[in-house]
Amino acid sequence: MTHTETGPLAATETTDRAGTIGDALTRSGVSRRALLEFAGKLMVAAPAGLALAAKLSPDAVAEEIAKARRPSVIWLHFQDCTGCTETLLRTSKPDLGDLLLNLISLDYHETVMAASGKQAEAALHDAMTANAGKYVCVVEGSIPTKDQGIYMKLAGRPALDVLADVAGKAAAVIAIGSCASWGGVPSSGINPTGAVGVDALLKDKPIVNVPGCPPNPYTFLGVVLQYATAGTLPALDAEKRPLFAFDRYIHDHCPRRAHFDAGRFARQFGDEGHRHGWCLYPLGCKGPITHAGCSTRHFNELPEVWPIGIGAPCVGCTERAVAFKTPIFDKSAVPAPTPSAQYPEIRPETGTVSPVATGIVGAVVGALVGAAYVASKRFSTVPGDERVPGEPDGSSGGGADGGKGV
Amino acid sequence: MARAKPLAHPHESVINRWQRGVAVYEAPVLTPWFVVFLAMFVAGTVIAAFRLLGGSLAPFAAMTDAYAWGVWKTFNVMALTALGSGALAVGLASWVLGRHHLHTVMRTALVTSFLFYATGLLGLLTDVGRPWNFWNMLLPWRWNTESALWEVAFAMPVYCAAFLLYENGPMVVERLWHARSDRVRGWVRTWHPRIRKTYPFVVAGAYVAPIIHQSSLGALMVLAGHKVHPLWQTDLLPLLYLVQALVCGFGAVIVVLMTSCLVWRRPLDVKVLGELADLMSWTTLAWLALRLGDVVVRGRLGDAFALDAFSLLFLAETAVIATPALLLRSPRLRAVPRALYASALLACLGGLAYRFIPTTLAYAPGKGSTYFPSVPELVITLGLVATVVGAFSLVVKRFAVLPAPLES
Repeated sequence: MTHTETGPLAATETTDRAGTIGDALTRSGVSRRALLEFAGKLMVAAPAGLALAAKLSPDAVAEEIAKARRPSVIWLHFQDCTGCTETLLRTSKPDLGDLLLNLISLDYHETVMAASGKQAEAALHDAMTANAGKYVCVVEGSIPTKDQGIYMKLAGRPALDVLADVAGKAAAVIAIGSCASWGGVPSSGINPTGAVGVDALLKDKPIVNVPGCPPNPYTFLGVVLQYATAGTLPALDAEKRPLFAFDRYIHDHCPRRAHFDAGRFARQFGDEGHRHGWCLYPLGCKGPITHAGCSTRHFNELPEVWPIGIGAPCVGCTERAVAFKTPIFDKSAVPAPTPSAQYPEIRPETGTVSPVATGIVGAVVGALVGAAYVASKRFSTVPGDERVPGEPDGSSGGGADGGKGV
Repeated sequence: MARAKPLAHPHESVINRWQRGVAVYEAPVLTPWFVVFLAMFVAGTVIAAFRLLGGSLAPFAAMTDAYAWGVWKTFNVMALTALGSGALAVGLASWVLGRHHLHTVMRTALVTSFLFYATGLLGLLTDVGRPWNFWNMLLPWRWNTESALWEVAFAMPVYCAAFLLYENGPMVVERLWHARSDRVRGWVRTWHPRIRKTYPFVVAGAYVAPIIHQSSLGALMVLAGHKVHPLWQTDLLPLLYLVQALVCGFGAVIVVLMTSCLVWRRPLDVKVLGELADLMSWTTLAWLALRLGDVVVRGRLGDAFALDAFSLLFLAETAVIATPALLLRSPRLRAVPRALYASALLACLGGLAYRFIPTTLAYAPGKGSTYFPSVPELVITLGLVATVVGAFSLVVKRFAVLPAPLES
């Protein structure tokens, strides 16, 4: 079978690919507002540590993005659930969905692409040759290594070979999701397929782990666009996670942190505390030991859409040692039980009770009760008796003026 | 309503033939008790001045960041402005329900209300953490009209400074007549018909404003959410606060009238007092229906009879409020001065308790935060109350406030 039809099509796409992100957005009719909104969200998602977002205004970030050439992205699926792809595509605003697919040139993606079979293989081959050494390889899902990797094959080749081939020619590799970062769900328990993350297999490539189950799409896009605009990758921590998104505990910025400090906890699902939105720590929340930005960057463009926000304890999906390794409802350790000293005091100093003050209150209350009793004793108990004691002559006591009612 | 014809002597009546009074001229102003109240007023003023000039609340008040509901807000504003709702209660009864002979006690109610509101506002001024920012309140474009606190901070001063002052105006105009200066009398002759004509329209506003802010006081506690004990926390709080203000208003007018009669030896008007007590009793019964119905509908009846501290507090509060209402259903008791006085005192006590408890005893802002007013706070609070009593005794001796006998 020849590629007479896909050939020219692929060539056209390659030409499109050569344009800048700004051109692509104009061509697809994505509004500037959507780009600005995205730039603003990116600045929120990367408050520090991402050069691209370290600008004064969303306009500056949007301008930088629009100037960049669309990075060619080849997206490989291994042992995954496609949740990471879903998180990228699931935006509640249609305009933003278009935008995401125009920011990057997604040249090969088994879930999104229309092609199948040999056409798909040809697309992969074309994308790799056209941008050899320049494209970003995104890996979703873990790679089975047991028994020569026979547990997952792609076009007849084990995942191991496909990864070595595609990632070998890539400029950088982004492992998206916890499975690609260090094995994730498929590696839990007895790990029947010997699943591992990209990091365990590729030793000579720059790798960025964007763990999460699923990860925040803005973290992924921040890394890709940083590469597209400046050709660099953001600073990483020991687990190769970008520091701009994984430098702090969820617990540090949790909206429910005040409840933790004040000792207000949900003890059971559906109890009083749970319904009041109190701290989920006793239910096994792993927020205190999990590095992630979820507490400030929610999902699906909707506020409070993230596990803790909807009342589900954090499972620690961005930590190699936590999610899928420790039981969901087990209490975690709390390395930082008290907030930073820079924060205002949440647990208040208790008020003082001065004995003089209580004495004054007692004396005043006593005097009032006594006065009320004495005064009421002076009123008559006879119905209709209008006299009061000491009244001059039983009639009106009288003022000098109008005492007789004028 | 029978309209009185324009009078040759404005002091006879500016508003209508019922609303007039007598001043207790022969009583001396400088009595020993007046000196005591004056001393309390001076002590409170001096401390309040130090607090305002010093800038910081901390050395004077026992309030903390967690427990900001100090005694000035909870007692002087939340509780005592309920007693100051006499003008609203008697005004609604006389102007709206058409019980015109209740106008005879209107001036007592108006002066009492003005004094309770004015001192409440002074307490609030002392309470503002950053008084140097207070001028922002005067700029309409800085108002947050979504805020219940703003509603209180706006409607209360407007009610006190505009409506209550205007309502108390006729009393002052009458007093001017006695200046015995032809120029002033000419001025009074010109102005009293105008006041007479505009009066009913202005007092209409005088019933809107307190209805707004008395219910907003309840709304403030609704916003406090779970910090208020469930027996008191309900979405009905604004309505309950408003109706309780009416109860307290009637009660306070009865207590103030009877105490004044006792102090200045004036005869009682049992018919008017009995009518006030009747209205107070019906209002209280309506309030009780709302209150208990709400507790039942919210399914908190178990809490009410759990016999823990809060349950006992609730039961005691309800008993103190219900007792006078039930006693005063008896027409015979409504004619007995001592029963009237004791019931009105109980009603005031119960009303104060209901308005006070959700902000203090049943209010828990967080673990470990406690509050008891400090000595300077109490001195200012007592100074404000002494101001009410002292100023009232001064006003009744210089203006025609206390009711004049109708028949003569």
